[in-house]
Amino acid sequence: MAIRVTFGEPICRQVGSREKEVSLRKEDSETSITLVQLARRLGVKIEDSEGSLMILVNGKVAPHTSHHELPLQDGDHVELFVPLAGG
Amino acid sequence: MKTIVGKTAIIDLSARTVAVEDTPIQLVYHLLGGRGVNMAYLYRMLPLKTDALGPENVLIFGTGLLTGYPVPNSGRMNISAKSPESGILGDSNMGGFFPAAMKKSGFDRLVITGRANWPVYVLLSNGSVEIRDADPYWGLIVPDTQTALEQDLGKGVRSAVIGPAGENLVRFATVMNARKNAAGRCGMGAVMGSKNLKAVVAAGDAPLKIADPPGLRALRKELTKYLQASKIIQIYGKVGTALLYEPANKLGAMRTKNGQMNQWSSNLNASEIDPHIDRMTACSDCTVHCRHVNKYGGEGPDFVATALLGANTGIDDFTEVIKLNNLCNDLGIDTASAGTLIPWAMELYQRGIIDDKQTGGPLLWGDVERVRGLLVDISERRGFGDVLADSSQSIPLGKMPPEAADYLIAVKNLPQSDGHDPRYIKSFALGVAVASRGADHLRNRPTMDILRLPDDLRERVYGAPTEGDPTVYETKERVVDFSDKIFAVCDALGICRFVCQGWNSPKLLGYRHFSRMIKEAVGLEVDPGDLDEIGRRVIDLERLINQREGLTRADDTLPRRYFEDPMPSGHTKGHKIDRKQFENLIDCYYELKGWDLEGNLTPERTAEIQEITKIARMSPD
Repeated sequence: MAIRVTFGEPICRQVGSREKEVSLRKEDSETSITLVQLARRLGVKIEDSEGSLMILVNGKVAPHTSHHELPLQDGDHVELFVPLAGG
Repeated sequence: MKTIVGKTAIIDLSARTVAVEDTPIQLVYHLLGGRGVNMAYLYRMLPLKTDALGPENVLIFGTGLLTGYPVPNSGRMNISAKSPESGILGDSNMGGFFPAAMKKSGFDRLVITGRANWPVYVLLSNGSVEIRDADPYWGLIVPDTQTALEQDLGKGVRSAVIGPAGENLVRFATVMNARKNAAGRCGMGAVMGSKNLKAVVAAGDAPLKIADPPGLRALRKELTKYLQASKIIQIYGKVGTALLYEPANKLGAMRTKNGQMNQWSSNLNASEIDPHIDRMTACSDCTVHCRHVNKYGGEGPDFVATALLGANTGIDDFTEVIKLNNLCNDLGIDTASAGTLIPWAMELYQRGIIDDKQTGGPLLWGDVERVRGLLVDISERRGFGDVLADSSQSIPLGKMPPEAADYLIAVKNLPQSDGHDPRYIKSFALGVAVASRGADHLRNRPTMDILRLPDDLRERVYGAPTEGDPTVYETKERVVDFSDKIFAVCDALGICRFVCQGWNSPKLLGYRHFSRMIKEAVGLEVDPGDLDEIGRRVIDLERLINQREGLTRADDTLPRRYFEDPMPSGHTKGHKIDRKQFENLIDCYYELKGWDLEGNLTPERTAEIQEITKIARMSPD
């Protein structure tokens, strides 16, 4: 089991794939990580001066305030998108 | 420093006369150009309650004040008239290369009245206007018309043309320049068709007079660098607006099967587009390059076409969606209206409100061949295509039953333009409801409302505290008001929305930048506060035009479905628009605008706008 991460455009171009699996570090007795930690591990910026990524955890939008707190565990599915909304 | 202006041509196609004058400087001071000045002419020259497809309608081609100048993303213009689709003000913005070519042919604006006795085109070159016979081009599709005009007039000419849909008065016919650059909304192509006007051709390429050439060169360099550092600009350049499909779909905000569903296939994600695309392309003076050149002989699709000809129509094959997009462009049909009206008819058929007798055969979700055939039939006004060619007017014309209105996703009789279902994001819903041309996202969409920006940054942009949660109603009048004004200024300048502050980014170009661009390019000193006021003035002027056509507060509303049917799936499941809270929001919006609770301007403001616009010629008063 691992955390499954799906990348929307154009993040997938940046990380070189549409999907990755991130394993918790059992050797460090890691049982969960936060979204911020996950993003750091993947080399993805989730917030900059032009806004935040839209992050879904198991199909639900993870509120901005939860990025530092929400514990992700093996089996969770995280999806990262740039939330543009024009036309 | 003297402000540089070009010429305005008043063309009467009935009398075959042309009068050319300097663009009135007072209109430039108060409304800049493009959409702003177009509205002054529409307000002053459009006879009351005129038939949009009659010779009395006034068709205005207006370049922005900065169109064609060497500043970033200055390749746009507006085409305006009374809309045959909505029956209110019609106004449509387009990019490409024609707008700059029109300006370089010597013209800021063409004001076209009357109706030619036979097909004609208008040729612009170096300050002169000729009305020429268009018989050889009548009946040709869009790319063939453009190619034939190039063959006859020279490779360098740029043309804005109509296809069969415009000739046959399809109420959502486009005006096209190049393969995809469309003045798509409001049926401006049908207005051209009603005037027997097949094309406007710009053959000039005279350099524009610049107030401060070295200053403008330095500013262009600075702004280009600034824009190219934006993450958002880089994304548009790589993926185009096709990017928008996946986040909207994942969120559960995708208009699907006429809004009965809110999520669709991942086959239409931007990540699937690469095999269909040759390269990205751009409009004149563009720093973004958002448009795909596809492998099937056309350009696009953008998000609108992908969402509405795909998800909304129940089609999940990207190849077919791209081909349908190309077909719309070749025939001169607005993808937004077509991608709303065909699904509307499909739902009516699904519910038994219309049947085979009216439709001439099954009308089923996802039937690509049926959709393809319908697009051709619409353009030729053949069979059931003739019914859909009348868009929302098919109901008052008696071609669709009255109960069909309950399922039409339109506001002020204009089908909704984009693929986002606004039931979840309340500011989007307000924007669609109050947009001056009807249900449209390009008038005022506060796209930043889903970026979850920090409170202090939002306050800096909007000038007042606003709620960050997209699902609440409170303070959303402020974000729509901000977008209303700055987008109106962008359209008056001829600047692309994609580089405008507030369009998916708190950065990009704002009033401060526009002020410098205007000064260096045309020598007009206008400070950022003045620009905000000009944006407000354009919105107020548009309000007056629509009220004269009979619109009231009751028209600032949403389709029934958005109030009554909760979104069925995904993260947005259960969301809809609460009528009471929505009406409160309308109150707040009107108050912020300085309008009364019925949406009327004060008598003083009305008088002020009448005074400003009175110089626009041939007043109906």
